[in-house]
Amino acid sequence: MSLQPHELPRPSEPPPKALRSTGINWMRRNLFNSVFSGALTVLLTVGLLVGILAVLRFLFSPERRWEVIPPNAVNYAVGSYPREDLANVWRSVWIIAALAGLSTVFWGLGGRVSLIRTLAAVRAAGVTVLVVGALSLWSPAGFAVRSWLVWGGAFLAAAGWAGMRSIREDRTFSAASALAALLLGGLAIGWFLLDAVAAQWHGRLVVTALLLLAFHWIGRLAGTRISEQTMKRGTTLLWLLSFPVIYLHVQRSPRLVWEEVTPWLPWAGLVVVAGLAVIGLVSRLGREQAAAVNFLLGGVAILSWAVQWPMAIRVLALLLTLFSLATPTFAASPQSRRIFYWSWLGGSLCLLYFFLLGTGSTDLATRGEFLGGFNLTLMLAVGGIALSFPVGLVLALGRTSTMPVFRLMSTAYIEVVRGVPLITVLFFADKVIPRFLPQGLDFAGEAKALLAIAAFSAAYLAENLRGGLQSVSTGQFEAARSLGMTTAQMTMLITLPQALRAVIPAMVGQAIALFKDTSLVAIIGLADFLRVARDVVPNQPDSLGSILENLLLAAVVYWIFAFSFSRASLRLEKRLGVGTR
Amino acid sequence: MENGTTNDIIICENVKKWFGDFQALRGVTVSVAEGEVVVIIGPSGSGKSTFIRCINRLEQHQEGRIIVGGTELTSDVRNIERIRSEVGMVFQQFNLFPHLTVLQNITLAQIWVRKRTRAEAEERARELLERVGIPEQASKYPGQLSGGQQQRVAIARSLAMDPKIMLFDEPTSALDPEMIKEVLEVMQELAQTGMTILAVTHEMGFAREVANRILLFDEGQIIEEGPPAQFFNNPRHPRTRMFLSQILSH
Repeated sequence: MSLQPHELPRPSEPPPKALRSTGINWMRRNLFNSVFSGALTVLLTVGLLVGILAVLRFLFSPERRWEVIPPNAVNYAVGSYPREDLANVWRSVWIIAALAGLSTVFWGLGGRVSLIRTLAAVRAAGVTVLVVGALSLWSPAGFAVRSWLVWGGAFLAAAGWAGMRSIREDRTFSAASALAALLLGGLAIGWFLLDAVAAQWHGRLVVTALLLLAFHWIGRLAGTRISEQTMKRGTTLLWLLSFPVIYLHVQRSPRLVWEEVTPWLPWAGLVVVAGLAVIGLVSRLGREQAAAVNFLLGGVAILSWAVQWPMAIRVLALLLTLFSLATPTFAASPQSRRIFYWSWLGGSLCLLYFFLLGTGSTDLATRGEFLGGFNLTLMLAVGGIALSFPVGLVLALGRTSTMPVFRLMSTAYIEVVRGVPLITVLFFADKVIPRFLPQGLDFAGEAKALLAIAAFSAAYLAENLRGGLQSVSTGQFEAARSLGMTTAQMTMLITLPQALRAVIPAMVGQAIALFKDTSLVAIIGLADFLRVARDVVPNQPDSLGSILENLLLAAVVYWIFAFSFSRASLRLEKRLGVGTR
Repeated sequence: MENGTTNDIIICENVKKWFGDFQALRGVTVSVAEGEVVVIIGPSGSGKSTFIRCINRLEQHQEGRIIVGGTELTSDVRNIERIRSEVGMVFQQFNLFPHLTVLQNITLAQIWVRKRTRAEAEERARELLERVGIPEQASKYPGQLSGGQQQRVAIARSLAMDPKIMLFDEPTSALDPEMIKEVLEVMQELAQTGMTILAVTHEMGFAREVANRILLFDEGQIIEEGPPAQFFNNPRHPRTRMFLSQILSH
């Protein structure tokens, strides 16, 4: 049924044209609309100029030794990673560049950029540089720097202004080509400015840029053949895989000593195969018989710790007991049984994989601190976020669950961890955890720091997520239940998607905080980015005592990453906001 | 119709329900035959919504028996989900999933609960959108639709599960007068196809035209029941007369 169209007494009119916003008009309305606001505008402008001038005086003071930073780029990037193995690090950069290239396809870079808005941005940047250049006349900046700022700013402003004048109609160009131009232009400028250092890296940087562009186009080509969903899932999977590949294979370059592995590897393989049979059997048995089998398995798993079987076998036996315990509840239908088989295969093989790599020694020239500098910071931040997310999710679901034991355990964990400073958790992980592990087993410092950060962050994340879960209205649960969904389906399909959307800003804030908090790992002896800036570089013979320069650089680098992350999340929010109420 | 014959799809015997100390249902006994349209009316707080929500166990009754499609609802019904998927429900506040498009709202449970393929589910969804008169809205989000359109999507979402019974819990109470009509038309069309319907509503026109039987709830019990003609023209209970005079007077 539809409404009958009928005559209305008055047709709709176009809205009145907005007053043309000239500069003077705008200033009168926004900056000088009253005596008080006029005075405030003048005062704040003067303050701003004085502040900029102070910064310029600091930057261009003859005492500043900015030239010490470029030669220390490798220290900043990887800390004490053996210099003869730097090729490993470049390989991991290339992996990330290739994956980033693939991901750019989904980041809206297939879209288009408006020419007028780009020119306006160029003009604004030019004016800013020009103002800074004019102020630099009162600073100790050298003649060359001043001229570059003044003439460069003037040129950019003029180019932007002239460009905007000359085009009548807006045109758009593809965001991907804009990115390519920016990248190549940046490389050219970098080559010109950092020519002493960049000369030896230039080939590798070009490879990085080309990989990024090549994989962008590969992604777009593939996008025409495979569905977007498959592409997205595949890319996400590759990103997840890239993490262990980079840090366990490429950078650590492990070498397996087969004589140490061969005694237990066949047995471990046998346990994996036996696990499939056990799951198949238990899922077909009645409740009582299944309980008996589980009891037997649990006994074997506990016994295995007493008789000193190889560690991998003991842990596999424990994992199998857990799987078998969950089988009667979760693997009753043939379909879920198949999922269970695959989860067991995936879980046990992952476990074996980490055991194999853990026992392998490494090809690196020096053993021990193979991670440092920004590489360590990035590993801790990315790994911490990736690990804390599933843990936080389980904790949040636990705290809102109706099962009392689950709820109590989650609440206790959250409240304990939230009541303790991160430094305490780091110390605890470093000094206390090894005492609970079997003799002779200890994690590397990096792994302990990662676990501590993830465990800490998970508690906060859980509280954020709980807020999101509680914001979903009861009507949603009732609708899902009335359609016959199980609790698990309701959680995965209805509750979580809405809850996650609601807490994106809070989660991004937490991720940024975690990224910055990784600098605390210096306290358990790791050389992260900030510690390199504070302790390592100022103690190098050719850059002795250059503490201010390096701390400022560290601050700028942290800010660049945190700020781009926050911008990216704004885009995500906008994109996901389509279906909000 | 009073006591269970063989084709009774819902049988309720002496159903009682408390919220804390407050007794919401004080012994409700009623049977609904297959294909019957039953309209439940009554003042607010009379337990009519609670009763209808007991039938798909969104609320749990504490005493008495409820038998739906031959299965008694008790606390140890293992697959309550299977029973719920046979009983569709439409809510006063629509309760569409705001993060999914209209089409996804209708296909989601078909795929995950009924185990249909995406193609099958989408075909069924488009067929139902056609039937409720909004095939062009498939790719919009619920927030972009009017109340009446949202409620029709909610009806389509329930029908997609091919339920044997449809429960309506005040489906038009949150709608503007212009939109009430479009929802009632869909419900009327549904009644003509032989669907078993239990509807809580204040739409007396709908009750008079479409219902086979009307139940009047007051203070947790059925105080009058009968076919519309008798109910409206010759009510037996003085409370019914008072209620009717209040809602029909304006």
